[in-house]
Amino acid sequence: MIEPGKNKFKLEELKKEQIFKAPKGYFNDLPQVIQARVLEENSKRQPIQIILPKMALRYALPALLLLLAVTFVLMNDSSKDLEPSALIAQVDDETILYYLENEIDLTTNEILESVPDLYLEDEFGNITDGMEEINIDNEMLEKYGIEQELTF
Amino acid sequence: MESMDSLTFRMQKDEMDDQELISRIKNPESRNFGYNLLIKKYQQRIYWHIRKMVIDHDDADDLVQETFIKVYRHIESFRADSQLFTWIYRIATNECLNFLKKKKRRFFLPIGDVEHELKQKIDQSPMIEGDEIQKKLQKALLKLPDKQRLVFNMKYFDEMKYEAIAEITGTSVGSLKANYHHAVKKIEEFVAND
Repeated sequence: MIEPGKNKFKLEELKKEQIFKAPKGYFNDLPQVIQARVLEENSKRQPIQIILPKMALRYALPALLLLLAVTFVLMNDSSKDLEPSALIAQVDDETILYYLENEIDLTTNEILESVPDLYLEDEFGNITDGMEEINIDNEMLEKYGIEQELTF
Repeated sequence: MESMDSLTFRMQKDEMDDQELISRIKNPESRNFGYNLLIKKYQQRIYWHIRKMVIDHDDADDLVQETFIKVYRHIESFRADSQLFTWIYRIATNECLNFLKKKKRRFFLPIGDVEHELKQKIDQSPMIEGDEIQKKLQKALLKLPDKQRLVFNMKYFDEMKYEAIAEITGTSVGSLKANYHHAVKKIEEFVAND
């Protein structure tokens, strides 16, 4: 043990020396050993490289084509841009009549409720225009056989 | 046995230059030949670089092989903006550091046990020859953190320039200088107090 303060070991005063040794002939054989390992690894990897393109062709390619076809159809679907009135215009009158007669069960009131007043006014004018207010008493109603509950 | 003293770090005249080596390796027809020349050119430098870090010959042998296999696999991605030897050194350095990290993980008491194991190898391995002070120096080096030991080895033993070490380790020259200076101080202290 060196006394504190006295010291000291100086690295620069030490002769630089390599103490490690390798087995004799090691560096002559090493390139062949490494190349043998590379060949071995390459042969292990090769089947994977062959399988991958086959799998890609068998599964991925049809899926990709299908996806492209669907995308193409959706992109070129002109019907999605049409207005509802244009779509209805494409249906022939007989079909519409048949549908209205047989498929729809709506009362007149329901139909009138669903049509905006403004539309009715535009088409027919206000149906009460020009009409005088009529007061009908109960006696007159009885005379014509109409029940009292029916009031306007 | 072969020692590092017999090896010169300067490029031999008969060695093919790196550019030529790379173009041969990238050409499928001359690939194996070019790769063989590359291994012959760099094997000793890489082996001693690794060996000083892992101490044991068998471990160094495994890591040298792994390093050159990685060089083979990734040579296509090598770009000429860095020197071939610094690129290979970098791969070897990563291999070493990862190996030592894994080795420390295997022990439950990290630094002490690995250091103890490697010290024993320095004392007992037939493939380590040197006088007492040289062995003391190697044991003192084991007390340094791995990265600091790596920098010390490259500067002190391999006599590499700081710029080259910076390229390999991805550290600035300034911090490498400071790192080396601290390493020298610590080693002198360790050896003196041992």
